[in-house]
Amino acid sequence: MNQLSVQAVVGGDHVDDAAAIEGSLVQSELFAVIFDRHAPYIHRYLARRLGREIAEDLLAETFLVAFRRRRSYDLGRGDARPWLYGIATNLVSQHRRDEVRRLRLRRVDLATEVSPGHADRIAARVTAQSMRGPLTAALAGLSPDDRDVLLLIAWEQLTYEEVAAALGIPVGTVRSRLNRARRKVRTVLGDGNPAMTFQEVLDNG
Amino acid sequence: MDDLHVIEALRPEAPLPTALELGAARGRLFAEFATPPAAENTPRSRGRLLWFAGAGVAAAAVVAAAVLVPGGGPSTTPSGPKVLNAAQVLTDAAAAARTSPDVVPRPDQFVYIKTNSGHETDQMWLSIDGTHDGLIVNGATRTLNPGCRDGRQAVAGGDNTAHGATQPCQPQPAYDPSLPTSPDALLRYLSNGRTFDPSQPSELNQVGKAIGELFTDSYVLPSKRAAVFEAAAKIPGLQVVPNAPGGAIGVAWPLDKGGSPTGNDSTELLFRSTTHAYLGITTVGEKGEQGSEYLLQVGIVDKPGDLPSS
Repeated sequence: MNQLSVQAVVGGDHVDDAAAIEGSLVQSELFAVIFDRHAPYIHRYLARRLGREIAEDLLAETFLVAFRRRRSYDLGRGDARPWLYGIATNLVSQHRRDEVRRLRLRRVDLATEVSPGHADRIAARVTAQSMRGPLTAALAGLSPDDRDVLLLIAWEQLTYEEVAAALGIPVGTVRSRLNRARRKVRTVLGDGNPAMTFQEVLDNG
Repeated sequence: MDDLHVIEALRPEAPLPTALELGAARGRLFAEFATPPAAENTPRSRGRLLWFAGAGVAAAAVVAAAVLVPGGGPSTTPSGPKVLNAAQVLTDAAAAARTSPDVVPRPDQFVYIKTNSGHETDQMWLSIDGTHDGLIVNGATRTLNPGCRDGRQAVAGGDNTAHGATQPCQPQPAYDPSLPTSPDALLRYLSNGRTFDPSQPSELNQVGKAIGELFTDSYVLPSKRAAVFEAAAKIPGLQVVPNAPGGAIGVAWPLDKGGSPTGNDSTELLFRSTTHAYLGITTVGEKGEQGSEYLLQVGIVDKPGDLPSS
């Protein structure tokens, strides 16, 4: 690994994250590869959860923490992004009140890009816009652990396994937290038709 | 409609940043590269220090004059009343659980779970085998919790246009007959199949939360509930908090500050001050923000909407 130069690593797409992190134990600068590869996505995640103002600062902290903890990185994992999401999520958790306030006060502009084509996604978008207040309130009302799992999956498109790796929890826990969060969200979606009885829902469903 | 797509559509506008916007963070990282390794923290010692500091802060946020008692051995104050240790409280909780008879539910039945968060009461009727349609009542709102049959489940929601739609699923049984009873196997189960290592604060913290989630999300036979408490009684390092929220007795789990990225809440299981019967779970974040879930009632019923007799 000593032979790896910064140029070789930065220039080469075929060097995976584990190799760059291992190399950075000898030559710190190699960790820049990790930053350049993942920082934009971690920044966007932080901005989605806490806003752009805080995102920049927390992005720097995320990578400082990652760099200092790189010795404990599992070199069996070729992709460091779930690990970075975990560190960033931990930093978000220190701003929980800010996040909850942000959600409750609806200081959030919904993304304008729509995933192409799918009718279900267009319907979802209409619902998200029309029920934005109750939905963001529901997100604010989730337990922080449940919210972390829900947003890593729904916003960041992580798989269950990646969320488990990011948060250092078993996949079964990811599943149960996601289920609980979704149940609470569905409660709000169900609110759109309060007159409907359970039996009617069953009959129509 | 898939509720995950709705949440996805709720994603705030945030374009990928430009290289310019990333410059400051990149600069701070490069400054760190130049810092000699001696300045890097040593996670183990740092984690331990913060553990004690954090436990004090968290407890102080909950009660004015909490006395933290090491869970290790029986102890009494010199002149005051008898002071409990965590193992005793948990053993009593097991005894309290055993006073209810074991009644194995049928697959077509439902577990009724009533909880209160301190703000609102939730009632859930969850399918024992996960294939029947359950119900969740959150305040005045009633929501279908669709069962999963042949790998598909109805998409719940009040949006009329979405009715008839289904989505892929895996059944989520509310009752696991394979829940083990031996302490070692139970702790492995609560660690999701991994060998439980009590020297890791993050694992301890997760097991504490897993116990709370097990009781608020599923049906556990009284004898197995007792086994869970007996397994927990063997975990070293748990602390008694005599005046937990609501006048309960708390058993506090070690705070994790060094390992798991998300485990930095203090977690307490709550027990009745008289019988030490299980009451619920409370977590306290670093800034004192608190979330509790009190288990008010659990029972087996035949259909959603029914209430258990006791």
